[in-house]
Amino acid sequence: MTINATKREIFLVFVVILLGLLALIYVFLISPTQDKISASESQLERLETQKTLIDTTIALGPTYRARQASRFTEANEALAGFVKPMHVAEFEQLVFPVVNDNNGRITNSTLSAPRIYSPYMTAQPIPRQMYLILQLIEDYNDVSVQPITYPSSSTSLLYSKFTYAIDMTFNQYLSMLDDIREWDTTVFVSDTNYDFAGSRAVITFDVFFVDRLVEEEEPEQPVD
Amino acid sequence: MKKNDMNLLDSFKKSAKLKTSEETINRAYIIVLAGTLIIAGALWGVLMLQNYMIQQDIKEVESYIQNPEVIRQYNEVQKLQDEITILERIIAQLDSANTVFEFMPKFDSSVFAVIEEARPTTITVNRLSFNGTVIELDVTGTQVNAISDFTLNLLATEYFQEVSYNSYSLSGNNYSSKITCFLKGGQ
Repeated sequence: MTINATKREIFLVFVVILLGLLALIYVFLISPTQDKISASESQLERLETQKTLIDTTIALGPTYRARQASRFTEANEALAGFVKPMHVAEFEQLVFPVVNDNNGRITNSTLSAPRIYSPYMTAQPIPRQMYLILQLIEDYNDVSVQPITYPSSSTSLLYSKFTYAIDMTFNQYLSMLDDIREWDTTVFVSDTNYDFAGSRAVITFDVFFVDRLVEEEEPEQPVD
Repeated sequence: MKKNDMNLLDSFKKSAKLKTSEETINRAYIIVLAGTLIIAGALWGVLMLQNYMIQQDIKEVESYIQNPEVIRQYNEVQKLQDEITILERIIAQLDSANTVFEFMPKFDSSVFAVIEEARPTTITVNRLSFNGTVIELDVTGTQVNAISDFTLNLLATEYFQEVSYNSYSLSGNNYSSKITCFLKGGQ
């Protein structure tokens, strides 16, 4: 079979074939390869970002090490002001010398087991009696009374309450209160009374305990 | 007519020229086709090469990231960061508690010294109590104005937020009352 075609027709067929071929090459070779390159570039970019993060993090190693050491010291110093958890009997071993030094004699005691407790501010501001004329007078005199702001805490600590009734003179009682305050720790006299007629003091201690940070056994290798 | 019929050379030349023209066109088609294929192939080759080079870079970066020594150093710094965060939280919690403790009213000889300084000689303190917020004084005075004098003296010290008493009564020769001193805190 012979096909008679003009040059123009042959040219058009050639162009169509050529375009078809180019389309096939683009669809099956170039486009997939471009997609692969695009995916690879994304992957490389992600990895480069990860590498930069790693490099930056590692470079900060000495800084973090110094900061960690500093914070560790700060935390230990802050913890040093708190009583570490102890048995009731151990706490009594702290109290007895103070009582004995002040010639007191314990006649009664009430000791509680530790529980979780949030320290709160015992002092509370007394609200001012305010009425309109007073408000106007203060406005006229341009006077504003700032209320006392009390701190609060949301933390929770181990807490125990110990109450002792002690026979002692009033001076010995005051001296003992001073000795306890000099401990400068989280043992507070939260409630106390002294009966001058009977020379008897009742002292209640609020004790807040906090565990200690564990010291690391071996220093870690420095980060380069 | 004869001349025309006998001019085979012209006819041959025309035929040869036509054939040459077709061959040229065919060659042009082949060249264009081949050129196009070569260019497309070259483009594809360049892309493949580019992809290969990126893959090499990926391998290089991956090998760095997966290096055990790098991982160890990175994890170590991460651990330090975590430890710092935890330590800072501990410090913040302790500071929070300490702020309350420091402001909490305390009772010791210095507080009683303030009371004693304000006490008129006609007043006797029989019982003293402190409950973390207020100090209560059970007092007796030999004169009717002794209680108010003592209260005003205590207020004048400005050591207390408020000093108050609600009543007094005469029993024998002594007036007895209970004076309440509200501590400010932070002292």
